[in-house]
Amino acid sequence: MKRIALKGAATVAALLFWVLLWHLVAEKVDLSLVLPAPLEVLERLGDLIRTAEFYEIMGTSLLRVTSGYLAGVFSGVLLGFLAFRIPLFKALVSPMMGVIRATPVASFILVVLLWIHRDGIPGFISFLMVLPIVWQNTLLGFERRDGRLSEMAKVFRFGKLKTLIRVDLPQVLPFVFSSAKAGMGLAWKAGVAAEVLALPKVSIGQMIYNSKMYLETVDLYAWTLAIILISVALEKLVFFLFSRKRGGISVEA
Amino acid sequence: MKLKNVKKAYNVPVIKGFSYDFPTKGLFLIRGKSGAGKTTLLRIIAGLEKPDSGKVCLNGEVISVVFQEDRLLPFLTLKENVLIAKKHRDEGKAMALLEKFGLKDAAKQYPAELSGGMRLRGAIVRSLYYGGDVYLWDEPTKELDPENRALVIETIKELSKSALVITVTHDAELTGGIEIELE
Repeated sequence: MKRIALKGAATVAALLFWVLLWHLVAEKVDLSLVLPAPLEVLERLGDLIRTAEFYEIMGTSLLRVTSGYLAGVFSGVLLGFLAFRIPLFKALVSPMMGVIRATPVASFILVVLLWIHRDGIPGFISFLMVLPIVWQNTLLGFERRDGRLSEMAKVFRFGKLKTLIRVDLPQVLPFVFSSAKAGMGLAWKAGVAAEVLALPKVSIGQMIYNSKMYLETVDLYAWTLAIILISVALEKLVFFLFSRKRGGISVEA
Repeated sequence: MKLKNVKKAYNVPVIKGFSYDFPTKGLFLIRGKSGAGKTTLLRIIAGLEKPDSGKVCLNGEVISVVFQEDRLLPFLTLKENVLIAKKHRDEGKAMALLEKFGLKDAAKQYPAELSGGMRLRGAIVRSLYYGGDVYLWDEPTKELDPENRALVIETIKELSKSALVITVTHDAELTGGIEIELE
């Protein structure tokens, strides 16, 4: 308990250090257009969160990104399982996943702009960011199962479905959860980047774009701060949902 | 159950033509030096490995195994590890067996929270709960204290009155069965 409190205090102290540094630099620059002061940004964020529009924008963006994220996790698990079961499928899909991982997000966004409606782009980009990570980890999880437990299942005649559900999946899930956690922050950041380029109606990306266009730097910082806070909250939520200890084994791989 | 001229090699021959006509009940103690193929023989009977040549003739016997390692599922409690072995759960039977082997209080604990001896006893309980016509137990007294060792030996002897028990063992106290020496 004491260790946790100390760790928390250290985090807060580090955060305060950087905010103080930001404040000092902003004071030195003395031009909000270039670098607004932290207090100014906080005040603007305070103004924003008192409007209904803020929640509508945040909610809409979150819905887009989350739907893409969930589709990515689900598809990644399914394709990872199929890749494990069918070597030919693995050989077929592996290069495609490699290409998705290696392609810059901006390139994808611009390419996808030509294919689908702009409202669907952030979700699709989030989906693409999460899919290869979850796919690879799911496959890895299946490949690293304990063969001795599979033998145990065989001699006690578990059958294929029971072996999959009761023996294999509990061993694979830590890998899936680990990638799902890593993918959340990535999906959110890539999703917002997609919004900035695709400019769907009612989106954080559009607000950021407008801030840049009209040189409203304080707004840009306030929206960015909101994105960071949401990102931290989402990662904590995913961490809370996926990190549980069972049998002394952390499902956090 | 019959084994006809079973051979198995891993680079070097391990089982060099093993034949035996096992009865439907009784105790068989497989002994031999390290690397003599004792565990391999049990694995072949259990269907986990195929012999290079020869035959294992089974007549639909249900085989129940205790591996050299406990092979308990780490994400299930000890009680769940026992119950999962059978399609139809019988909590009363599982708890009675756990109690017999001094594991009643450990029923809700996970394998990682148990000692090696407790985990081995858990694996023995799982095998007994599953039941069967043939029991293949690989060094079932290895990590046990004298009291529990005596209990397991007594259980093996009792079991062999109604089923076929084939045990790989180095335990000098485990006697009273037909000795099979592998070279």
